[in-house]
Amino acid sequence: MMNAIWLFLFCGGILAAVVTDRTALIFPSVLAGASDAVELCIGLAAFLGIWCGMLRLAECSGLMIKVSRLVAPLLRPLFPDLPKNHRAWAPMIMNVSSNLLGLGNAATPFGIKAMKALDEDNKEKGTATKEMITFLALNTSAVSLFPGMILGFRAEAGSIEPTAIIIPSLLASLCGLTASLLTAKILAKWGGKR
Amino acid sequence: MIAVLSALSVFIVPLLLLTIPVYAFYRGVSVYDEFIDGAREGLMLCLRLLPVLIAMMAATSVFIDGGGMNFLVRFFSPLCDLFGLPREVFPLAFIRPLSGTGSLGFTSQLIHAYGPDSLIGRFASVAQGSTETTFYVLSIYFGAVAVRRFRYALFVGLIGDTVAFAAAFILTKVFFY
Repeated sequence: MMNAIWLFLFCGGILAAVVTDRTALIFPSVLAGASDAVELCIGLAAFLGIWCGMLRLAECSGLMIKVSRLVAPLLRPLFPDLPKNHRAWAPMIMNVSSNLLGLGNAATPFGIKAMKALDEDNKEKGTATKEMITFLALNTSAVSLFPGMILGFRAEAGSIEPTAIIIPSLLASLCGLTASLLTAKILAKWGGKR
Repeated sequence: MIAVLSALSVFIVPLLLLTIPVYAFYRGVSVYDEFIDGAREGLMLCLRLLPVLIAMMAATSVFIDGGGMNFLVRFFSPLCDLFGLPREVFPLAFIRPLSGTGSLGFTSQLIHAYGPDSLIGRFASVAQGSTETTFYVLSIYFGAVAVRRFRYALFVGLIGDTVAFAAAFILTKVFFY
């Protein structure tokens, strides 16, 4: 799947540029994208360094287990086949909590940890399990109580009510989440157990 | 409520940075050594992500700059007119799942060009806030565990984005007009 998407974007972009006579743009644009990635990664390195360090402390001290007990009941029904004491629960719950508070960047290391824990049970390495897909549905839904960046943009552009979009935005993302989870549920049944 | 939330999001990070090490020390964890071990893990992870990010972001960049995005938008503009969606915002539906920085840039341009309290400005804000960079999220999380067969994960993510985008338009109308 990723092969097709990547090829479509990359070669589609190049072909479109050739057709519209913007051939000179192609290489600079490819390089600009790649250097954006490098910049992002440098920022991410500092961030992941601090956060994974913190995560390690939270894990060693047993803090994660405490926190996860509070949010757990909300997530349990979404993963009926995951054992109650599975290692993935704590980081999954922390990931969802961070996303809710609008700490998108803080959520990433937790999410990756959760994916690794889920992958330990994966009988078919390299293929997504239904738990992974449900978990990612939570992450591709942007359910957030505080979309900070946009509020910043709006305030800076002189909006009379920069925060007025919070509630509609939260409701819209909940609609998206519901659709994602339902789709995942249906397709998991349809595709058989893995 | 909003004041509480914004105060919360300012204080939560410093609070975590303070509580976690203090609590760990209290529980007898060797904090300095464990922190360094964790940080090392984070850096290794970052190194593994870089090639994935280069591949995806280079492709997205040339797709937008080369005009592939324009073709895609033109192809869908009859659909746009059918539902009364502002055409100006529609490219966001395509950029958003592909590129977080790209869509932020696009949204901020719309807000500046049409005003933050216009239909376009509000719709773009709500849509940006309620959808995610699905491709990026999937490539980061699946990349970290070397999963290459996504099965129906992409479909699930994009369904969510599509529904959220449509809901954003309806809710903008309901809340503001």
